[in-house]
Amino acid sequence: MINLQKEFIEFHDKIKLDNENQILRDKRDILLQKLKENISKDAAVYTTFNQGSYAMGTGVKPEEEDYDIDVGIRFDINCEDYEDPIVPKKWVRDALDGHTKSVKIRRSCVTVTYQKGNEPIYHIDFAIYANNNDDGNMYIAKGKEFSDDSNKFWELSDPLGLIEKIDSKFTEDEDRYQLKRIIRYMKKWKMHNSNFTGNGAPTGIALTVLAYDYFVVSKEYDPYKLKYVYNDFEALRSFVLAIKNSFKLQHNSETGTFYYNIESYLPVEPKNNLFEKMTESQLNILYQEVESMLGKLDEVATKTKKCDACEILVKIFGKDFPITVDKSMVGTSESA
Amino acid sequence: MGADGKLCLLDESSVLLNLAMPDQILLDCFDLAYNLLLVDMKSDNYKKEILREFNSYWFASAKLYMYSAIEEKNYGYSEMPMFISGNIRVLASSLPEEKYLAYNYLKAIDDDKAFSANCNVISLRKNSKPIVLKELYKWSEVRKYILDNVSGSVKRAFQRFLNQTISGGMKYIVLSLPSEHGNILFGFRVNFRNKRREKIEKITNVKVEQVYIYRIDRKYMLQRSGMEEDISKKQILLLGCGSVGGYIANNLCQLGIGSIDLLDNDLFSKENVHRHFLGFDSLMCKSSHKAVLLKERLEQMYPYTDIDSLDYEDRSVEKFILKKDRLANYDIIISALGEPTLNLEINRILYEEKISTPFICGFNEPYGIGGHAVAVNIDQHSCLRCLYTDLMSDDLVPFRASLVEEGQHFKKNISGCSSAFVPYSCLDSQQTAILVARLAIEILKGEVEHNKIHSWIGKSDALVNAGFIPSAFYQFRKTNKSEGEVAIMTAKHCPICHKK
Repeated sequence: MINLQKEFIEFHDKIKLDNENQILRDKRDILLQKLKENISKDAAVYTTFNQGSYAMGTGVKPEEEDYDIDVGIRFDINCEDYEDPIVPKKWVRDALDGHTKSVKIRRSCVTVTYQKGNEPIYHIDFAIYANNNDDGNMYIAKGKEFSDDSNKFWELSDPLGLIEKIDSKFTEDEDRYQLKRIIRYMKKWKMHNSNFTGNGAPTGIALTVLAYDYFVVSKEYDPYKLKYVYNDFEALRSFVLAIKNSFKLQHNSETGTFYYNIESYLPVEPKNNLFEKMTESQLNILYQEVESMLGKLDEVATKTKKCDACEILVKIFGKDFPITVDKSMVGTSESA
Repeated sequence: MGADGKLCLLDESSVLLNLAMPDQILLDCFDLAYNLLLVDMKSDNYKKEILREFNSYWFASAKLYMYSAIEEKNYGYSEMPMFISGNIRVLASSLPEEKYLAYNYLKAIDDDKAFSANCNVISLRKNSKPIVLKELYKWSEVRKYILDNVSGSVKRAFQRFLNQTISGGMKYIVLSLPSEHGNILFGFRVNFRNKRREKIEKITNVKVEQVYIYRIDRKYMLQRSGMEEDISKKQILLLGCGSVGGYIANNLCQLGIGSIDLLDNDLFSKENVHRHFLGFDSLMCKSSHKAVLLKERLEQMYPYTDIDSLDYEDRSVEKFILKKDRLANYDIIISALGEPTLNLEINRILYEEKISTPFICGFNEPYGIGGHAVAVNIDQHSCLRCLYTDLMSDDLVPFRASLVEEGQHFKKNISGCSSAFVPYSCLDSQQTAILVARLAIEILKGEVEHNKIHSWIGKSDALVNAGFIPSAFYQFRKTNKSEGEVAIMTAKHCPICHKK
C-alpha cells in the first residue's frame, strides 16, 4: 500500500473551482450590477444568493473552459399572485438581454452566455424564486417562454437546503473537506469519461447526494503529528464500492431485459430521484463505468510503486492527476 | 567516628542547622553527646554500631596502609602474593594485576626497590566480634583472636602456619570480618625479629603494627554509584564515539559496565574539542581515531572496565554489521551514530535475523531543542522502522517523534562540506548521553519490558531565532510538560516488524 494523499491533494488543487475564483466572481458581479441597473420598474424587490456547486464548494473546472455559475434570485413575491412563472423570469431576461450574445429563458433558469473576443465562454444560470409565500417555502419558476401552460409551474424548492445539509454533515472541518474532495474527484471522473454521452452522465447533484448518503471519512490519528491524517484514496475506493453496491439488478417486464438501477433522492425539496431521467441502457453504462473505476482503484491498491499507481489514476481522472515517483531520500534532523 | 578519631554527633550533610540559634545548637549537641554516653555497651545496637564504625577506629590507630582489590568472598585461610613498592602495598588476585594497579593508578614508581611478599588472608567466622581496639597489640593477642574466631579447617591451616619455623621476617595478615553490610577488612604487619629459627607461634620478639586497608575492589568502589545489580559481566557495543557517544562511553564505564567495544572510523579533530568528551590534549596522542583515544582515556579512568576499540577492517559500521552474528554477542547495542540510515539497517538485521540483543539509538535534535534515546528489540510489537514509517503506507519518512517540523535543513556549512555540522551544544550531547546510559542500565537490569523513547525537551528559542519551526509534537510535550518516556506506536505498514 502506498500513500497517494499528496498526489490526490495536488490533483484536487488543480481541478477545484471554488468561490475563490476571481474570474467567475467578476463575471457574476458584472451581471448582477447590470440586472440592478436595468431591471424593469414593475419588477418586484429581490435578493440574490449563490447556489449550486459553486456555492457548495464542490465545483470542478470544466475541461472545455465552459465555466458555469449558479445564482439564485429571490423575488419578494407570492407565487399565488403570479400564475405565470415566466413573468419574473422575463424581468431578469429583459434586464440582461443584449448584454451578451445570448440570454435565454430555459426550463429551470435564465442563462446568460458570456463571451468576449477570444476569451473562453462562461455561462451564468439565474434560477428564479418566489420567496414570499403563504407556506413560508421557496418556489422555483419552471418553464420556457413558449411552453404549454402545463409545463409552466412553480415547484417547491430548497436550493440552500442541500448546501446546509452537506455543510452540517460533519462537525469537523477536515472531514467535510474530504467529503467535498471526494465529490470533486467523482465529478472529474464523470467529466473525463467518454463513455457517458448526452444525459447518460450522472449529474453533479446526483454524485453529491450519493456522497451525502454513502461517503465515510477515511482518516487515521497520528500520535506524533497530533492530528488526523486523511486518506482520500481509501475514502474514494470505499465510496465507489458503496455506489456499486447500491445498484440493484432489475427486470423490465415489457422488454424482458435486465438492467442495473440506482436511485438516489434529493434530501431536500423537491426530493426527487436524481437518476430518474436516465434510460435503462444509460444506467447499465453507469454501472459498468462504476465497476470499471472500482476495478482500477483496486488495482492501484496492489501497486508498490507510485508511478504505477499514478498511471492508473490518470486513466480514471485524466492528465490533471500527477504522476510522481518514489523518493529514495528523506531529510533528518538527527545528529550525535 | 571521624577520620581524626573523634566521635561525631552529627553528619553535617544530613542536617540543616539554624545558624541564628548558635546557643541552642550547642545545647542540642550536649544532649546528643549525653545520649551517646548513655548507650548500653552490652546492647546489640552498641555492638552493631561498633562493627559499623570499626574501620574508622582502625584507621585512627593504623600507621600503615594497604590497597586491596581482592573480591569479597570467603578466603578461608589463603596465602596470596602481595606487591610492595615503597609505601604502596597492593593486594589483588594476582601479582600482575597488583603491579598494573600500582603503576597505573596508585602512583607507584617503577624502580628496583619493588618486591613481592606473602600475605595471609584469613576469613573470620560469621558473628565474630571485632578485635578489641588497642594502641598496641602483642603477637599472642593477634594469634589468639584469630584462633578464637575462625572455623575448624581455617584454624588447622593457620595452626600449620604457626608451626612453621623461621628466623625473622615480615608477614602481612589481612582479616576479613563478616558484617551485615559486607566484609570488613583490617590488617596487621607482623615483624618477627628473632635471630634463631623458631616456631612462628613461639616467637616473642615481635613488633605488631595495624594496617589500614583501602578497598579498591570493584564491588566496593561501585557501591557509591548506586549500582546494585551486577552489570560487570555485561558486554556493550557502542557505535559512534562522537559528541554523544563519547559521553555515553564515559557514563557506562563510570557506572561499572564490564566490557565495552567502541566502533567509529572518525578522526578526532580540533573542531570536536568543545562538543566532545575528549579535550585538546587528545590531539597530541599518537592515534587520531576517536575510538582509540576514547579507549585510552577511559582506561586511565576506570581500571576494571574492559574497553576495546574495534579495529575491524576500516572501522566502519557498514562493514562490521555485514557479519550479522557479531551483533548477537552483546548484551546491548547502542548507536550514537546520528545516522538513521545505519540505525535502520541494524534494526532490520536484528529483526530479520531474530537476534534478541536490545538496541538503543541516541541522538540530538538541533539547536538544543531536545534529544532522544530510543530503545527497540525489547518486544516485537514495534521496531525502529515504525518510527520512520508513514501512517498509511510503508513509505520511509523522517523520524516521526521529531521535535522539529520535517523538511528543514539544519546543517551549517562554514568552510566546505567536510566541516558541515548541525548546531547543538556539549550540554545537549551530555543530556542525551545520560538518557541513553540510564535506559541501557534499566534494560540490563531487566526493568524495561517494552520498546520506548526517552526524550528530553529543551527550549525552542535558539531554533526559532535561527528561522526554524518546532514540530506540533514538541509544542504538545512542552505545553504538557511531558518530558520523559513515550511508548513506540506500532506502524501497521512497517515493512520490518509488520512484514506480511
